[in-house]
Amino acid sequence: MTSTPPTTPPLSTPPPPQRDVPPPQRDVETWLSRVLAVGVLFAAFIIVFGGVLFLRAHTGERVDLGTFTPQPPRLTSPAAIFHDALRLNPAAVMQMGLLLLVLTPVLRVIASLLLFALKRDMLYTIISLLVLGALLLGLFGGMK
Amino acid sequence: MTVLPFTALVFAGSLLAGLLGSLTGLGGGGIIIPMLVVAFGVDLKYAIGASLIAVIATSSGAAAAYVKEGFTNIRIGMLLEVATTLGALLGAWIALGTPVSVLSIIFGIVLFWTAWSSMHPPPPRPVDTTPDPLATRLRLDGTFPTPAGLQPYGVHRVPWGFGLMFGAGILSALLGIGSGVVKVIAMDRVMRVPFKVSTTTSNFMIGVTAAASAGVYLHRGQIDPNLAAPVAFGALVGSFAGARILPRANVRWLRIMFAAIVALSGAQMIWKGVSGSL
Repeated sequence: MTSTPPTTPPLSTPPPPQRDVPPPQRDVETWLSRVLAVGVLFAAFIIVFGGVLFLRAHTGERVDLGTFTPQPPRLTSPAAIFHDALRLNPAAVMQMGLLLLVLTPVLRVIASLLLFALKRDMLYTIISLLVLGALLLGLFGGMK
Repeated sequence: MTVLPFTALVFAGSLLAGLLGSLTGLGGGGIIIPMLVVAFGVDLKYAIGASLIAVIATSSGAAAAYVKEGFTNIRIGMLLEVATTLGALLGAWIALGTPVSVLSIIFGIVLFWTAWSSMHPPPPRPVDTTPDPLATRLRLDGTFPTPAGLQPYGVHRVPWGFGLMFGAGILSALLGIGSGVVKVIAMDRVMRVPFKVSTTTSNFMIGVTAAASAGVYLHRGQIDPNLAAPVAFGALVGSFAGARILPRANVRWLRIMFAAIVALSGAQMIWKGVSGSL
């Protein structure tokens, strides 16, 4: 462990008699979970919004997903999805929400990376960078 | 089927899968794909894409809903994610040249194995505190909270665990599942990480692993928003609810029932693959 100075609790709240987990680690986990919760809720909101738009426009149409045909480029490239979502195209808004959901774990890796870097933990900063690199390769590297 | 009933039924089914998956700890991904393929007649390639997003939703949703303070070992998670994400990229590439009938049969076998292992939990063992040179150098050892205070633990056989995680990553991308069962076995059985630390760290890793291949499947056009949106949102709501109910739920019967459903789905996937009706 690197030497992180222990955070002192504010004077107004007396410390509980026994802490199970040292404060820095506990704070980090709570913070990470908040970051995730905000990201997930935001993504879910966009998915539902897109879903409502879509249902209003296409309620009576038939669904046929029995044979695979690749989605058109406007729903596979992050840039195109973003472009069309801003113009409130229903499918693009849903896809945008799904893309944001896919990005929540990336957010988590970036948050851990920053924490390791702040603690001057070189080894785990590099390891986090490797994970981030693999994620970005999958998302934006044009692998097919 | 028309859009409205299809969306409503897929949403309800995915919600139930997410709820049962998070209550039993078996994950929802394994059951969502057979549901889509068998009950809704969806092409396996669309089902895999939608399921991967649902896996991410359940992983992030559970982590956001319910912090198990002090259990997740972020170092172990991050180190092993190097293996799972690279495995996932390889798995997505392998999937490209694999016939759907073969994928379906592999899927069925994995489901059978999941059901079997959920009915045969390993006997509890004492915490292993002996040091291991490589784990010490990588600073993987940690502590977890118990009623008696912090319990330190040692991590072992890091290269074996890393190799297994690479395999878990391939499987996850190939089949569109979280492969949490393999991840927990790699940590708990092989690396001798305490069970609770293994399960929470596995959940931390599942979303990251799935995100690596979900990107590839997005570019490949396998993510249809009309299907993936109700699947992901349903699984998210289900896992959120599951994480809230879990501390108060009696899961033993639920587990047996869910294992039976998983095994039945496995049989159907194998049959679909063998008979070529995909």
